[in-house]
Amino acid sequence: MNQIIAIASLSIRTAIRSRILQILLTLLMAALVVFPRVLISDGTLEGIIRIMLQYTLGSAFVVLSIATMWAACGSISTEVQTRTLHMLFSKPVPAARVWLGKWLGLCVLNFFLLTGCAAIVAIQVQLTLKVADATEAEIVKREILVGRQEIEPDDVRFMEKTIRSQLPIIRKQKNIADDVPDSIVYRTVVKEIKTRPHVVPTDGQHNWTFTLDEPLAPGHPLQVKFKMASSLDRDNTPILGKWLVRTDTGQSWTHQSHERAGAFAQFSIPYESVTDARSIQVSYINNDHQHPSSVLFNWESSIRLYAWKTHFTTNLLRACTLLFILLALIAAVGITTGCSLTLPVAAFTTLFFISMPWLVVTIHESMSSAPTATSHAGHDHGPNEGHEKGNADTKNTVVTSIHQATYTVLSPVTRFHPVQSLPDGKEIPVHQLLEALFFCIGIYSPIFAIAGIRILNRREVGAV
Amino acid sequence: MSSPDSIVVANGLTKVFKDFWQRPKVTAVNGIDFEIKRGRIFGLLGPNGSGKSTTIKMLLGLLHPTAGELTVFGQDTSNVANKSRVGYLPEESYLYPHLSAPETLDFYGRLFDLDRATRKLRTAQLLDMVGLNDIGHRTLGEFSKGMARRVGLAQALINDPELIILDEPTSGLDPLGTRQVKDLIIALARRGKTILLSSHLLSDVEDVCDEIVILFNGKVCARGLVDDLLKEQSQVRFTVPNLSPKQVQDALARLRDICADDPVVDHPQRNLEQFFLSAVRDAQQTGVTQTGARASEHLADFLSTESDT
Repeated sequence: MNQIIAIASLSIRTAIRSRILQILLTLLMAALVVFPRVLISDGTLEGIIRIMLQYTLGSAFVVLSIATMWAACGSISTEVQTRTLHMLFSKPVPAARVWLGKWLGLCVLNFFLLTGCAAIVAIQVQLTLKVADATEAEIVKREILVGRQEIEPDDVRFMEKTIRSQLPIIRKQKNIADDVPDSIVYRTVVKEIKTRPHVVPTDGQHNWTFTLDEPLAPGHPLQVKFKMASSLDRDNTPILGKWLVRTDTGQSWTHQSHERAGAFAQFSIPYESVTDARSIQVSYINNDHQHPSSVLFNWESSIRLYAWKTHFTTNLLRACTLLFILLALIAAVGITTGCSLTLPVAAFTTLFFISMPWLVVTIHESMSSAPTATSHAGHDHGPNEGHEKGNADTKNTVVTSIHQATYTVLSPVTRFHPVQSLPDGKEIPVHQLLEALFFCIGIYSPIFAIAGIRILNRREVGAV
Repeated sequence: MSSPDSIVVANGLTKVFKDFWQRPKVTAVNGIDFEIKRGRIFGLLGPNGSGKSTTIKMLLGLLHPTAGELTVFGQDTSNVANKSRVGYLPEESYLYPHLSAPETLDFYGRLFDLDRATRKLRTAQLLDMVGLNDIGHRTLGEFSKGMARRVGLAQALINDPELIILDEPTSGLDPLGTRQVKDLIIALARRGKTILLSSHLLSDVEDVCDEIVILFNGKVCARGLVDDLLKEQSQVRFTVPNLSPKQVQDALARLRDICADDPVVDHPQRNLEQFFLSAVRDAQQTGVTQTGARASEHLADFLSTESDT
């Protein structure tokens, strides 16, 4: 352990005394302090705070990612070039400890830099709130500076399960041929559903049911966020309507709504009106008789419930922990590529490795949404068509299997969006941290570590 | 060939460097054999590109032999734990430029798992030994080549090694520093350390080495004890106090009666190194302040004696 700590502290000391850290700190200060003041918000306190949380922390993460990648790639490759690694390997230090020491050093540096970034963001937010209007500040505290759980309506949340259970009926109703795979039928049905909005005519109503997995936190109101559209051009005139909230415990609550179309709006349901509820029905009643028109709700994203889960500070710390875990993974990839390649090549290779999960996910999504030929009748079959089709099917199966395997292995990395959750006041759940820890530190980093150590053991350091 | 007293044994040691496609590019070391015994100062000589540094890198496990056998303390060179008994000074001082001399020694001490107190003690003693105890906390990047070389030498001794591998140890040092390093090498050998010295500065090797191997083009072209190799068996030299011209003529007449060839008479000359060192010593005695490194005359106390090892 002494050797690992020695190598880690050497990395930190070298970084502190090099110009790179000074440049990095300047860039971070620019990202954290100057950037939010240069960006133009919508003028509201909410807008300013959102920018502070999303862009400052986001740009700080980008700066740290690039710096980590560069430092990690150079940590071994530069030492090979300057031959300081000769000295290290002429001592009784196994390659594994060299790798771990370098990684630990970068992680410790990132820990302190991220802590500093989080502190600067938190201080800036508090200072902005101090000089802001009290009512506005209260809204921001309730809607942004908080960690809330987002709850989808049951028809969105359980859509896949519901559709899959009804696939045989859908097949029968639509007279779909047997050789069309379920996945294609499912995709087609989902597409159809998503294109149809919920239409609420004048004097009509639409109900959404929300199932709560956990009891609501006492004393904290439940928030409803929604966005609607109108069948008429209303020229910014608010749509009048009524929201009715009923719980499985028999409680009910109403709210008069007059919101403009096309923008997200929120209202709060007092905790007392939803105490002990495990299922909540939210109904919208269109009672706008002044400007009679139909109100439209997007099927998938027009309404969400938000339940209080944690304080902003905890959420910010969780976001920083997630960022730290992702940076640790970048460091692991960078150090390993630097074990066999020179600095610029290693940096490009690292960039490729890091972007691979997103690439795979993008390909997966485009494959999922790509139209598939399903016609079967009215074809003239040539003599070799069956054979060619068989070959093509085999190739498809192989490619799909490879893609599916790659997707399964790499896609977990793309699940974590700490910087996007904060400005929406969305809770970063503990299970997400554990998941990130498991995948990034528990699986991917050790894989890269083993590869890096093997390279170092096999490589003739003295040949350079 | 090997005996229980052998520290390093090389049998048919070969190193072929290959290109990207694994095709042989150059044979740097070609089937060499040698053995280094405990307590000896062993010189590895040869012109540039003769395979000296490649051999040393193979000894340290930085390169893998292509063929042949190479053992250090009876173990394969890939044995990491074995390196705790070895000290290494490379031909260039590959040290971290951002660290100061004490930090450098402390870092390498930690790599040998030495505790803080031991590291502190050894760092102080070694810096005193190489004449850098007054250098303060300047980083190595600001050091002259000679000063960095001294730090390199100090780090090679931090673990009190049994085998010390010195690749061009006097490169970059002034004559005073060179003499000090040579004296240090002899003193270390007296304490039972085994030293492998690689150099192409023949005077260095001649002054300190017991045994040498001369490499040329990756092969051994001469080997043996330095005294045996350099002794002129066909001539005898008398050295006497200064004589008058008549006494010289009398002596020559007698010698002419004994040997066929005409004897040669001259005054022995000091070499330039000896003259330089005496001149510097005289200047030091006048009390002129010195700004660079000034080594102490004694070895670091912690460096163990033969009986300890």
